[in-house]
Amino acid sequence: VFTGAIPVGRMRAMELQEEQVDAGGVAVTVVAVDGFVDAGTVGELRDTLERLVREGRQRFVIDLTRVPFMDSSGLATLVQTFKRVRIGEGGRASRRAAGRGAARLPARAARPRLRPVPDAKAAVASFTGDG
Amino acid sequence: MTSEPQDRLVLPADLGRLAEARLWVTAHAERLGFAGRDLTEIELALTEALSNAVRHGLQQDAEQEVILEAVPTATGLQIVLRDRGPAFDPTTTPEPDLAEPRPAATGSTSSAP
Repeated sequence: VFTGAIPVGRMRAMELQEEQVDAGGVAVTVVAVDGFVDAGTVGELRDTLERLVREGRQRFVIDLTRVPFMDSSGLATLVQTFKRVRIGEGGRASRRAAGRGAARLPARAARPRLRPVPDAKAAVASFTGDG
Repeated sequence: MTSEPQDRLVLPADLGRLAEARLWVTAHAERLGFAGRDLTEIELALTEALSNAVRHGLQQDAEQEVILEAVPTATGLQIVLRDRGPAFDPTTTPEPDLAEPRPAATGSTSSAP
């Protein structure tokens, strides 16, 4: 075990919280991610998003405010979810990415499709009138 | 008082240990003055390389090991990653078919076979 200068507490596992909120009559599912997202932790995020899409959720806010690091496996999961939602909706994009984590996605990311916003509240509000 | 990071880190081929490697490389990079986006890119590069070694080189066999070494250079930091996975021989890999690139996980296309 590495016992260098960095507190081991910074290696905490990723945690997820999901919530369904109302944005002016439009149901929005907020998935808040807390912790780093890499190939070792992404499975839970992928499983959760896949389940929510299967349940018929169509509008998502993926809150990355508390994600200090995300690798390509996390990015791929977000893009795959986006594509599944878009296909399910007949071509309408309906996901927002919130927070610093979104802004730090690699340059290759589908940024034109992911719209970084200041926080999850603003992301949810952006769905108002989207019904 | 903080201790200096070890120059060498040996980890099992376990994706659950990626964070440990990232903290190790961060400690080395910060000691050399890296910060901000440069630091993030170093963390990302190590994570991607180590993920590939664990998943594709060692098939996530936790009995196998990956050895990481940090070597300060005149211009920065060199990270050496070694494992005993099968060597990749590009001369035996079929040429990519650019006419029909396969879809990649990120939604773009890749020319890999």
